[in-house]
Amino acid sequence: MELILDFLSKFVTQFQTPTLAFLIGGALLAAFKSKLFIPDAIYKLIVFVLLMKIGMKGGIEIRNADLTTMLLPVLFAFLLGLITVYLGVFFFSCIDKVKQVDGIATAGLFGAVSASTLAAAMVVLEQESVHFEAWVPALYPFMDIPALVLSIVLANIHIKKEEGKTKKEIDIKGIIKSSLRGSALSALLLGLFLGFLAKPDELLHTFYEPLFKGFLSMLMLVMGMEAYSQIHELKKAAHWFILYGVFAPIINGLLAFGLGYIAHITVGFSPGGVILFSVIASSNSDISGPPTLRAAIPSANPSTYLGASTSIGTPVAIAICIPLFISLAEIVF
Amino acid sequence: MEIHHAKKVVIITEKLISESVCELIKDSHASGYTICSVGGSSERNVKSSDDGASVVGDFSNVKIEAILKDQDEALHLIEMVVDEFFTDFSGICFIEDVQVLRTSKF
Repeated sequence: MELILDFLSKFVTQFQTPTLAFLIGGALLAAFKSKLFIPDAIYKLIVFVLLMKIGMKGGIEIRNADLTTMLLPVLFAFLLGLITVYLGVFFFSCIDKVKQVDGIATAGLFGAVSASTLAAAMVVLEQESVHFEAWVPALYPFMDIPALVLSIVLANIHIKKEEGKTKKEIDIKGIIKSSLRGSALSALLLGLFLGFLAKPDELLHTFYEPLFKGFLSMLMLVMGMEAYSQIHELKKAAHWFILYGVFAPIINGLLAFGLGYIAHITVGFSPGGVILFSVIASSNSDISGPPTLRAAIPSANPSTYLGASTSIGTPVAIAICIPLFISLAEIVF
Repeated sequence: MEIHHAKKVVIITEKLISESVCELIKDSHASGYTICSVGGSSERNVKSSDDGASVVGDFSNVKIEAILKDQDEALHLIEMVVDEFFTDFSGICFIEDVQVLRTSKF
């Protein structure tokens, strides 16, 4: 009961925080067919600045961190990338009406990670003065890539079985390359590298950090607009995708919370780190995941996975999962 | 100045596969191609042509044009594109009559 009440009060406060308010504002603008327009180039710049800041900060911390404490969370991130996809695939395999390959692609996208949700969670944690290890965002690729690769492999196995087609070999190297080359992950990795090697502390504090919150609010506006504009895609998909979109982020995040808790006990992973780790697991890929899946599983209908992730999964991860895991952490730790 | 008849192959498809389509064009008799972003409406979807922010990148459409000397070459190219890509990806192809000045360019 205490958890529910605490969660509800956090949830209400969240609506007053700029992060969620901008997300809803964006959706409202799109709903009212507003002519407000954020150019794609600006959006790409925002993603670059946010991920560079997150990366650099992580890189600077890794320089001084005890890397052995990172090993267990890295392993857990990798495992979660696989488990969440298997769970999703299992869910959709129980439903006859859903085309399996659509289900596998959707599970892959929900197993993968969203840079914008990650950034939103970091801002909320900073507002709540919750400390977390700055290297936690570096867990991103360890969860993101296995999830995408696994879903593509499973989809191709399924297609082979179903249609008896001798499909081309699955190009796992190509999938990893295309994930790493995605705009969000490239910026994050470059930031980590620069933070680790180049001592960009002053640049970080004078340029990237002051821009972070403002740019995040603009990103949330874009995400809100996109969430609304993708709803029409969802109308073409079965209701099961909506159900999955609502519950998968919460379940995936709770699994991560459990594993994070084990890391907390064994290697002293901080409570803030556990929260951020859970939010990473509850997020679903929005920038680089969809094109990777579209190219690698072309027979899957993009309306299903795009609608479920952009219109349902991302708002759920930001609006429900972030306050949920913060209040859960307050009770557990 | 003499004007010569030629065929223009127009392929409107997903940006995601544009590189692979262009590879096919390079392997055909065409000596080059033109590619541009497009928007519009089809039986599958409405695609915006503006340059507003799109979170999900690479889901936009492109128009690829290539000029070939004769009908057979043009037909062969669009058959290859349709066979290779259009089972799973959306797209349309058509051939137009065009007139060119310098045949040596094609």
